Amino acid sequence: MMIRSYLCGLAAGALAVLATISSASGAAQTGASAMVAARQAGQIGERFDGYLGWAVPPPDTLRRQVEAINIRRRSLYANLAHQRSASPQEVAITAGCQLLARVAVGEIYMLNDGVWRRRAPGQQVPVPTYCGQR
Amino acid sequence: MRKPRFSRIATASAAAALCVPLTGCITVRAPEQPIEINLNVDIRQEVLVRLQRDVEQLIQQNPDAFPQAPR
Repeated sequence: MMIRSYLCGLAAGALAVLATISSASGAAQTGASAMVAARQAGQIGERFDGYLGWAVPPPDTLRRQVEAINIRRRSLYANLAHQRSASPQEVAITAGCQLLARVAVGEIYMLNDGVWRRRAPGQQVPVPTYCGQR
Repeated sequence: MRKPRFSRIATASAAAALCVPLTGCITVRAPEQPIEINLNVDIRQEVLVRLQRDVEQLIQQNPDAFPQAPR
């Protein structure tokens, strides 16, 4: 009886470990795809200034992911700016032009009037005039 | 007038004792307000053109920072 319950405990423990491992790898996979899904759902979108943002504050987990990405972007912009003797803001604005240009239908975006809009089917993304002809 | 040796040692060890808890408390934190939105766009066309290609590469080479759905 004692041995049997001990074995049951072992099996349960092993199951718990397996469950943890599989959920952890699942979370790692969903990180990027969750971001893409959140964009397609219009929860988050690209801003003209080269960073991600939201019209309505999203759930905490998503908000933290977006903030982490923005911090990462800022350091990438700063590095490139340093290499090319430009300001981080100039690099970020240039990136903003390119990121706005690839906003898909149904996704939200913010131009330099500070207004969030959703790209409608058949509508071109109005890239700000300062971005120039591409 | 010189301080007695014992007093100098006592002062030094007191200073060291004070430093220990202080250094133990240093934490590194990400900025609270990471990125403010500045609506004033101040960029010259030539700068934008000059950076264009590098920025394109930056976006392509860092999919973690620029996640995009496969097209």
